[in-house]
Amino acid sequence: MYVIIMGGGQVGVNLAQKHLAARDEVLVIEQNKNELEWITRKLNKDYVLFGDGCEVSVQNEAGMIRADMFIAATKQDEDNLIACQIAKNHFNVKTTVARIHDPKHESIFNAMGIDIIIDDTNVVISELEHRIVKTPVESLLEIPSITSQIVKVIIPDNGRVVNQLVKDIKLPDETVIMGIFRKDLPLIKPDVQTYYMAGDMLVVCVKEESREALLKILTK
Amino acid sequence: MKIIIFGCGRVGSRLAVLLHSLGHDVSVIDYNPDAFLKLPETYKGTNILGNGMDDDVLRRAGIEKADALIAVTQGDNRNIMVSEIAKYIYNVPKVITRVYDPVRCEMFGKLGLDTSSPTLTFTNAISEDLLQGWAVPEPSDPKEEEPEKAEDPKEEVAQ
Repeated sequence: MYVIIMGGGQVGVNLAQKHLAARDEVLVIEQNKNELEWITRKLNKDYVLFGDGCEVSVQNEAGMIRADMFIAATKQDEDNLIACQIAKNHFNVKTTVARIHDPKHESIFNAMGIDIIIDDTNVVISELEHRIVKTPVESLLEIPSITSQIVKVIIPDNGRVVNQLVKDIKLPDETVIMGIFRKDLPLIKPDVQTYYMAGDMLVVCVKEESREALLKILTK
Repeated sequence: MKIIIFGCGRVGSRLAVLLHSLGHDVSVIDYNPDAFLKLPETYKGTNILGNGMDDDVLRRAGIEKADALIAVTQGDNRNIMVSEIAKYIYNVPKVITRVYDPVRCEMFGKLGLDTSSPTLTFTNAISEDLLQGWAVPEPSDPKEEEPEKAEDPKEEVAQ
């Protein structure tokens, strides 16, 4: 099987290595010179092509015409979509795979006939949800250099903040609510109209020294 | 018409002013707040600050009720993708897409988008303009024709 991968840094390289191990033929297309150097060090230079994978001429040079699978794994959703459409419509690649970062883009990738869509954000979120156990405040990630950490907070049933607007509750300085998980709803990004509700699970970035204060405000 | 313009560059801003002056309901999207400085104070259309590929931003610009969307950012892929979203997800009746790359312009034109490549148009216009009158000298009376024909293109270039 011939697999062509466009971009993707760590993901792209690891994917390439997996396919190489499975004895597939692999080519990584990369347009960033710095990335290219790094990828070439990780893989053999024969498996790397310098260029913009959204250009028809570059796809042609990569031998897209005989590729069985094309994986677009850059950080730009629009580049991934257009490269996949070219591979599919112009070079008739059987399977096109695209990585997307904005979950709302899934519908257009579907409509344009991309075969496999990997939603980065939802993969991470569902993994987070899966692993988080329900305790009032739990540290998810410590960021040593800036003494901040990312924590999970659950709003208790009879908490003071329940039914209050998020914007009306003053939190300690340098505290940011990154998102709210509420029952089966998609991840909520709090805005001026968002209320706290009992059972909400918040993912919050907070200074280490403000953690206790945050806990008091949200869970008392 | 309700018209959304994606990208407030030279073309986007000019179009916005023109269409607004003709009485259309215009919304311009750009992620760079400075881009809106190109619009004169007399312009009273709507400016939407944000990434036009973000669904919330498109809805804020009124894509659900738009009659037309024009994608004129600097990114070909961005223009194509937002046009596809407008055409296939929101069923916007008229979608025009600027694609600098002539190859992608033709390809996505064939796939159903109304694409236009300034690269192609401009190259053709210039070469036509430049070579006007530069017909290969006819073997019959080369002495009469040649000097006059050589003048023309020089004038055009100087303009």
